[in-house]
Amino acid sequence: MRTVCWMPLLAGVLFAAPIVAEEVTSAQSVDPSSAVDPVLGLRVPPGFRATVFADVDGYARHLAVRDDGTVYLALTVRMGRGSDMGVVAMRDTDGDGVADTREAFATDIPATALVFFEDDLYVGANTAIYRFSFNGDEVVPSGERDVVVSGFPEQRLHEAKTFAIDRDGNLYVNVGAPSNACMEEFRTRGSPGQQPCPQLQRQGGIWRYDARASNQTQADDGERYATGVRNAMAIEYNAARDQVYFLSHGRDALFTLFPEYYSAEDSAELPSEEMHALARGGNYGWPYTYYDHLQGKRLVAPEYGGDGSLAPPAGEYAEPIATFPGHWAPNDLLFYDGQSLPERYRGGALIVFHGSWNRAPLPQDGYKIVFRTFDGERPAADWEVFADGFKGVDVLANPGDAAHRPMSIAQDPEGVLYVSSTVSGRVWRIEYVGD
Amino acid sequence: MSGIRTLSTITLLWLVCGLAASQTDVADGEAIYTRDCLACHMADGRGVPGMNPPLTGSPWVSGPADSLAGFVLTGGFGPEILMARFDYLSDAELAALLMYIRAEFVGIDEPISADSIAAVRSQLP
Repeated sequence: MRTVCWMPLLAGVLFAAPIVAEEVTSAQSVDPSSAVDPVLGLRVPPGFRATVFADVDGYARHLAVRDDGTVYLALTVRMGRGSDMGVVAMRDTDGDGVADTREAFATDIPATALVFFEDDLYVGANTAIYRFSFNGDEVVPSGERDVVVSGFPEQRLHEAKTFAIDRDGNLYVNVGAPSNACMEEFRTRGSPGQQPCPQLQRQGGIWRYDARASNQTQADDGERYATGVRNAMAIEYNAARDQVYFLSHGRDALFTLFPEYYSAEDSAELPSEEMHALARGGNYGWPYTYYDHLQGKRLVAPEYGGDGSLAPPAGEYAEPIATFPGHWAPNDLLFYDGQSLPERYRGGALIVFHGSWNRAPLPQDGYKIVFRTFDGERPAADWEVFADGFKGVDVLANPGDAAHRPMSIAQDPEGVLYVSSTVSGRVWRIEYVGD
Repeated sequence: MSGIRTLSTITLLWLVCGLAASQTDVADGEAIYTRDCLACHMADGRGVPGMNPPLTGSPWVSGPADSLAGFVLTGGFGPEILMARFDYLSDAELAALLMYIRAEFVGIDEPISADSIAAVRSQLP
């Protein structure tokens, strides 16, 4: 009976093969035939060397590296995971590639995002953004902790405040939506979406504040800069182009909620994880629409009358500049501008995918870092795998079995890369050593 | 003696048929599980850590069947929403689903009748 029960699903897999063919393998990408060192826990392209920089207790979040090379790692507790909170400062004082000093601070803050701006460390928590100032070359900031902006809604889903700061001191804060698709009834099959979605008043968008100011609140200061963003965990300022870019987590459960329009296979592959160039006043489509990279167009969400082929009115929503397969969960983005990697990496985007849970009954996917070159303002059509092997098994059915889940990427002043993993608290150092 | 033998035969037949019927129901339950539950609770019933609770080892799953039926029909009884409601399943479908879940994830191999699901449903607001 077990076999018989799976037959319709298998048929769906066979007859609805995905057309995602943008991933390319080259001499410069990860060699898919090479072995993953199970102790190290990842695989990098030829010419690169990865080492374990630190194993930290806690649920690791974003990384930032100070001008002196000190590596800062945010820690949080969320959804029953994690132990220590705050920020851990790590230094490799003897140059062996392994952190030999560790100092924690702000341990009362559930920290996710870290950005250095004008020598201060900005920390994104769940309902506020903080600023820490250093006296001289101290590793742990001894100055007062300033609240840059607070008063974001308390929410249990998509609660982490990631952000970017541009050269003018504009602070762009991702305020995630607290739901899957703003349904009238929580994840209930066939439920229509709320029209208009009230969550968009305070959430599901990018808010702008003054990074140099203090004690701003979401309600009284700043502005809703863009809307329709479900949760832009990966948001980054690109100084060379003076442009903020972001990737958002697409919605879940098309098949479970609307089996009349979607197969389990459709639902595993859709919707796209979208990459955008942030524009003032932009509407990025959530919850009314989603993007379908298999059809190459934006579609109306089934909660709002969509059926898997109905397109919204033209011009209402922004088009992504790049897309990735569904549920990969983009959690960080780095535009490489260092000197130690080969020239082809300069100006390109390294994107960290935490990995899926909502691709069952197909194997889970993501759990990798990809590299995408940029041609002027837009990313190239193809992308390649820069690091994978994190999940520790070839075929992952349950995300709980992943050895590591990549979370963040940062570069030090010399251009060496650091990568963190949430579930294991591991931080790797990745350098280019050549042939 | 003959009466007792007849009774035994009938009991045996009832048991065999009941067992066969229950096997069919468990099979249907698996199909429903695959369609409606697996995306969140996973094929192995362990859920997604920190996100979607496990069915393996769950006191709701190993507890009384009518409590479990009420949970699934209401999405956790409320007022806090824990899960979507699955009240669109028929009494027979829900009975088959719960039998599958209990057999597969907590090792309880007991028949659940559609009537018992209907009784739970009738008590819900």
